Amino acid sequence: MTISVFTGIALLFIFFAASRTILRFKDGSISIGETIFWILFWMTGATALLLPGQTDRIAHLFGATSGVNVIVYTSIILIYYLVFRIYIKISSLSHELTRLIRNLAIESETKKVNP
Amino acid sequence: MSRLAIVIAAYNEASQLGSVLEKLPIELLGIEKIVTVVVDDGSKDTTAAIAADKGAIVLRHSINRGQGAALQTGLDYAQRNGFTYAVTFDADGQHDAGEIKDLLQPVLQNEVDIALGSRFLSKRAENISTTRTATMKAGVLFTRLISRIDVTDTHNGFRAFGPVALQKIQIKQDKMEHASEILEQIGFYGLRYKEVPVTIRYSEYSVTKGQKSSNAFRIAANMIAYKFMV
Repeated sequence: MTISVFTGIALLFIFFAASRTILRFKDGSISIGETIFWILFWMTGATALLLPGQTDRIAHLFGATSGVNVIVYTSIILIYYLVFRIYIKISSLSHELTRLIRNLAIESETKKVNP
Repeated sequence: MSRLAIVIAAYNEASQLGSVLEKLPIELLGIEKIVTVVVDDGSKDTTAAIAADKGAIVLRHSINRGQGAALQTGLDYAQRNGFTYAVTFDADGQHDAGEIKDLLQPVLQNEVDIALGSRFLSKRAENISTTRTATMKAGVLFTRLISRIDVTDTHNGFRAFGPVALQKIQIKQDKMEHASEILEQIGFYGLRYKEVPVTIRYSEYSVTKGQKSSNAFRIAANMIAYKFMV
């Protein structure tokens, strides 16, 4: 089996991303569920790169003409979903921050009155 | 015991705040104690020092979180410290302190849970620009559609909260969208409300400090998001 330069670089990137995922799990930044999701994600990408013919076969099952189309469509949907998740997360963190600042402000004044 | 907290959200208002605080009432019929609560929303000037000097209770946000967040901090303080009524009042000198008693009256008489100031009921908006009037009229129509609340002035910061409104209304929108959110919550909780004519004096300073008419689009988008996603 011969591997093109593009496939080689893409595989190296996937290996790098998967190793980062494991490191983030080890330092407790992400949960086991998130780790499994991302490892499966990167493994699917690697499989698609190594067995391009298989992606076409899967694409036909879903009514798409080629595996590349399925990968592009799926990626766009996934990216939109992740952007939405990040937006929700930032919004939630912003509210938490406000609540924290608020409680500090009120407690600080209350301590002044009732030390 | 009826206690009133006059809540003022202030961000870099050192130049106006002193004179605004001096004009606030120290006694009102039907109120046993009045306390002014200034929420300094991360100001970089002497806002907090001026407020403290004028005898206000000063709650300091260590970083700027927005007017909605600051007002909720003041309202939370009022609720936690046993205040039965709260009035929200602008720090930039737009509102008339003499009208606090008029705004409070329907709340004190338990006629409504919340009284909302309106600059359009008696056309008491001084020096208002045509653009701002048009934007606000559009906001009124939009609010009627989205929140089903029939008001003439959707973004007036002069409000009087009774005990039920003080307990029920929780502002989650940190920025200027809180005004629409309050109307939304009035509708959601079925609170009794009434608009009271108030005067808004636009000055060069208040126009610079206040929100831009172009914010209306962002506010509208947030209202739709709040209505259908929260």
